[in-house]
Amino acid sequence: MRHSLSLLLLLLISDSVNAAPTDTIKPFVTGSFATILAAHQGQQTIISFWSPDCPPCIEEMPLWKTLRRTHPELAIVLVTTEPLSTSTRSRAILKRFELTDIEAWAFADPVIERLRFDIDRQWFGELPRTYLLNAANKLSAVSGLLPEGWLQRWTEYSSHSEQ
Amino acid sequence: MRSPTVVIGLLVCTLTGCAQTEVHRHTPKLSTLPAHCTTPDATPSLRCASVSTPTFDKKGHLWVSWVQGPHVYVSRQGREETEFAAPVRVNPQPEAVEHNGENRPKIVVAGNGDIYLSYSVRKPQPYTGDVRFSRSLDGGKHFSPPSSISDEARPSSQRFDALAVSASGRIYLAWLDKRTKLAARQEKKPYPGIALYFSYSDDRGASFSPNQIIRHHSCECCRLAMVINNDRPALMWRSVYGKNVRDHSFMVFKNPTNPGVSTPTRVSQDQWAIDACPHHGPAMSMDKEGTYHTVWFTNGTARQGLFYARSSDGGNRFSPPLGFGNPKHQSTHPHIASLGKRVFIVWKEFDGKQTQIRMMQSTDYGKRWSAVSSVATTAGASDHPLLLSNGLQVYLWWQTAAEGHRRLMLN
Repeated sequence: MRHSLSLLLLLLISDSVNAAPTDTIKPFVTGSFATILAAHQGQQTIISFWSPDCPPCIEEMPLWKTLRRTHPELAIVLVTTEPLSTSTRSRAILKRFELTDIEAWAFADPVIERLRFDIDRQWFGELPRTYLLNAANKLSAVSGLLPEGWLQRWTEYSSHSEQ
Repeated sequence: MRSPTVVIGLLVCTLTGCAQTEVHRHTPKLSTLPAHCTTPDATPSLRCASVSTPTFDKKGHLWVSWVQGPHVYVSRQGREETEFAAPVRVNPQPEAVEHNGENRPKIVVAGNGDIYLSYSVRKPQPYTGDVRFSRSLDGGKHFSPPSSISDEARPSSQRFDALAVSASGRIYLAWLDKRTKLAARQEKKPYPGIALYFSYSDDRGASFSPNQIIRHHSCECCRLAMVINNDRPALMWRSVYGKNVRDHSFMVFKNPTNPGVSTPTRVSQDQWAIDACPHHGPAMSMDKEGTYHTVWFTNGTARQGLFYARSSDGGNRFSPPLGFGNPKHQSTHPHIASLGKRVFIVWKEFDGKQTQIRMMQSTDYGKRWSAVSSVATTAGASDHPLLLSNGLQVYLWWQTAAEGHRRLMLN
């Protein structure tokens, strides 16, 4: 337990410089969604909620990897709903898709309802659930795989609302 | 892990100055299981279950099944509500038993007192599982070594089992199966969803019939609802219509061992097109008149939220969906039971501080409904609410981390 606490401390210190990517997974609690949004204000940001139990979520993993190369200006945040304390499968998947240095979070509140209530009352737990934050800080939500042409539409909308 | 969770909250706030202090000050001490449950050698106890499944036998005794660590346990309730017989371990070998709201062990007690149990085990490959079956022929003292239901040479994946026993003693197991999808993939053909399969046993679970497909293109990860109507299984499940519309289907078998080929009834045209895991299956109850009462969740373009519909013509037509619950409070996971003319519906809501079980009831076979009331609350983590009846009363069964199980008579 002492070991895991010191690990958490390390993790929390990295949390204080929020924007920096980390190879550890941060605890997602009530307020974390607001923290993420605040940290990425003014930046086109993808916040994707996923789980190792969700096949379409895994289907999307290569997309995050590709986007980091083709669109380095986008911020990508991955939040696994697998509990932080047992997030070994999530870690393995991040590793498999070479995403260990992405900004990653894991649910750290056993009351899932409390987290969903805090994130978005219109979200009923279906996965993947993706939030797109544009440069004008407008947030939109997508349930399921991102539809074809989403990136272009989102980018166009983003630049339009910037003007 | 309870105390570290609280510590995390405080530390996060110290270091980042965020608003979490507020929330964590209100976090109950027991939002997770008691500490004595989390050690690997914890004594088996219903108190340590995160999800549990109850059933009544014909004599009115309550049986409950749950998962603790790598094992499935069964116990019978004594005369007192809090009194339970020593838990009996079902699977001698440790297994990665699924134990979440949507995928939990199933337990039924047949008219002759046999106890049947099924559960899904997670396999190492992602999204694959194995449906296991075990029985007790000595009143729950011993359970048979669990066997896999798959009859494939190389089992693909079976999960989300449903278990029922008919009045005549035939055991039905239905589940979601991946074999047809994998076969289609080999031929590079598209195959939305997976498939609904079943098998039955006429010898008290000693052997099962060959696995048989019921229908193609089910959703991959939602619980099934199955009841037996005069020796014919009736099923409700989330289907995939077209490419990715995940609305509910209903069908009754043509005869006791043959699903037939007729097109299932679409319970409701919700038009929920989504490439995702709703993880949110339906529930169903049949009353003594043979009317099917169904509840489900959708987030379709036609309607969003929780809905009820009934069919009094054997499932050919369903009544217009009746919405219930407060979507602003995340109304989810409805369950339903009927007793005589009475029909009860419960579901979960979260009001920002605590999870509530909300209830409404009908006294005229589901035609008119009462106002909604709260019947139970918890501040911590909780299972889906379940309803069950002993033929005299309907009870709410709810497993919560802070309080353990509770059984409440509804009236």
